[in-house]
Amino acid sequence: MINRTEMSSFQLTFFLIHAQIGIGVITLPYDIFLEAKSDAWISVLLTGIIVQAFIFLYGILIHRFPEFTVYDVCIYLFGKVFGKMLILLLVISYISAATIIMAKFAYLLKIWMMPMTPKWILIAILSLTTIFIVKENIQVIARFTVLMSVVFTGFIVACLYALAYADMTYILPIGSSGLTAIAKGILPSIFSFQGFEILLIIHPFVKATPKSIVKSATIANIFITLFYTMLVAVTLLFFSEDELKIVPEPILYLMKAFSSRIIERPDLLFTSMWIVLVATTLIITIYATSLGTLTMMNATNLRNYVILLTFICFGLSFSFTGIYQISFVTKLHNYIVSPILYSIPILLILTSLISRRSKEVDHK
Amino acid sequence: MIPFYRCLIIFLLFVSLLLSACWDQRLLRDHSLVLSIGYDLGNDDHIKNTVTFPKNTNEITDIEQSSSTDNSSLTTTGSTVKDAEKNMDKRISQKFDRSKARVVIFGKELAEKGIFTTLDSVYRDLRGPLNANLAIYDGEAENALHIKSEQAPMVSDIYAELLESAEQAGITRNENVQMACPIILAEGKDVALPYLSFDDEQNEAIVQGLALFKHDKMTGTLDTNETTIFLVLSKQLAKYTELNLKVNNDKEDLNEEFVNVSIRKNKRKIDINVDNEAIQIKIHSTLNVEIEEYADDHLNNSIKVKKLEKKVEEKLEKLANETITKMQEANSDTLGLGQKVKAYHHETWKNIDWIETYPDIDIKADFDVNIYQHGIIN
Repeated sequence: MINRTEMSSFQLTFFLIHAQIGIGVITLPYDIFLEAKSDAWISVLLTGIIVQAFIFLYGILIHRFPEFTVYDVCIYLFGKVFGKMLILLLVISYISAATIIMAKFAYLLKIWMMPMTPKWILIAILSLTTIFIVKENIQVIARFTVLMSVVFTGFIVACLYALAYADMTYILPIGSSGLTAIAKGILPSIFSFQGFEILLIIHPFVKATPKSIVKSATIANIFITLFYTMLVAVTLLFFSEDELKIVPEPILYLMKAFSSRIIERPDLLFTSMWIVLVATTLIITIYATSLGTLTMMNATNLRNYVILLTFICFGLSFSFTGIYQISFVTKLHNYIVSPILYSIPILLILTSLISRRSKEVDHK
Repeated sequence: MIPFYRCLIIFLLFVSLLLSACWDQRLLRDHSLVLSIGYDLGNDDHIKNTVTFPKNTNEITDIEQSSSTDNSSLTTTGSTVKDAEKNMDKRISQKFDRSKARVVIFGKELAEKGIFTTLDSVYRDLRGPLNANLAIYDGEAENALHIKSEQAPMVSDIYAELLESAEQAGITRNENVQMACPIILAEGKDVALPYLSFDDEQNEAIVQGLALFKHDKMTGTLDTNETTIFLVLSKQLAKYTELNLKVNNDKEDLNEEFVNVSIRKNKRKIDINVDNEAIQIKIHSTLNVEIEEYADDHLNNSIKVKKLEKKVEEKLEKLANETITKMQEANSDTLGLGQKVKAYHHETWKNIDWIETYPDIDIKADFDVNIYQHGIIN
């Protein structure tokens, strides 16, 4: 099988954080606001709790198959033919995710930074970076994510600075949008948490007990929940309700407002930080889909599949242009493809529990 | 190792290909930097767009000699802002670039019609000058941008610096393009922008106070004294806020009738009483003041000081209540009282139409003045 180089549970935390925080981070407050209005931040907190439940659920699978990725489990439980069909579904899901990341990346970069630069250049640069890193082993990706976590300080500092202009009355009274609105806000918010299911793909590479793997995932989840809550809260405090309705990328708009004499366009600096987050998410997604293809093909050379799959995504991301098409495809992805990503592991857990098959390893 | 190097070389070649072209470069020599923009209402609801930009001086030696004629201005008309700008591109040899604008001035007529639709293109543009200060001019913004002053060579500098220093003196309050947007769109809060006019004799622009808005339409003005008290009421105290108040009558010397106080510390409490949809608002401020000028003297006598405090309180209350009435008449909730009602009395808020209710609400201001310094003489 594949050569398993190891990473620590500390790296796993950062790996998961980067898998989840990505393209959606700058649009997130707007998406949730549309449903939950001034209580959007409560929706984010609730979503964090739901995701935590998923992590504990996946913990069962990790416990039963500590050395199997979710792909291996598919084959183990469902046999060669049906198992591989499941893997194919997962692989297609990840390809869809990667394609949307590329398309959205190019779109946002074009409207915020480089309106004249051709789209293919922007995506090509991102794709090449991705190939460059993913073709190495998972340890390299893990180290890269730890290193790149520096950008979060930038986000946090900027948010704290924005608090100086905050107006508390914008979110008061708390709970004014009502429970249904808050519950509705969970849906768009859960899309931004996409990526936690990567845990099931990388856990065999972590040099730790299943218990501490779940612990690392929990830490990552707490960080992401708080981080998202902070972003949403700051946005709500800064923009009035009616302005937020017309600002689809509120985080960047917020940054743009802070221009000073020294830094004329802080949103450019901010976009650069965001590009890093997009790149790490894409790297991890491409890695996940390549690993799936590898398992499906019984192959050993990851590099070829990485290049092939990146090019497939690159090509696909061209097929839709413009905001309206992209948002349509995103909707399709969010409502059809992501549920598949979440539910296949659940199916595996149930099958494993019912058929009482597992591959537990004795811990001495 | 050979394939790796080959890959690397191909990669580097490819990268150098990417770096050789830059689609989004904007060279300074191809652009005219517009530093101040004026919008007016033209004929048939057209927008009259006036811009000033530094004169394109090719010879460096010219710079020393040129003084007040350092910038040129241009006015074009169009059905919208962008249309007017397109007409502008026909006239100037370079590309028009407004991203570095420092002030955006609206003519009074346009301000009364509404400013938000005019600003749409600024908010939509990724290089929009969100940091520029907004101001309203009593007259046509075109004339405002045509002044020639001794104070500074550039029109944009005159206004930018005038607005800045006026804000520090507590006689106006600046909002930049971005900061104004959430307030304009917010329910239960309105924006106030600096109000400028022109002194023909001195040939200078002067700050008149604030222009009050209801949503994005100008509905009234506050003079500088009223502005100061408004800033006190809204707890946006400037660095050097001073007020000149008439506290004595029938003195021989006019100078002795006045006291000039400078407000150092400002505590504010807003009490909102809701009783059957009848809203009562009390704004209570506690001020620590320093006497800057009081020709009547004898401020070491504590009874006299107490008396003076009372008089200052009375005067401030009168001024504040007049200001509030003026704001209610303009139906401009610049203090953001609606936001407070919405946040703390949400049930009431849902039952009333704030815009209709606001002018009739009972709003009272009272002051607690505490003289704690009187300068270096008694």
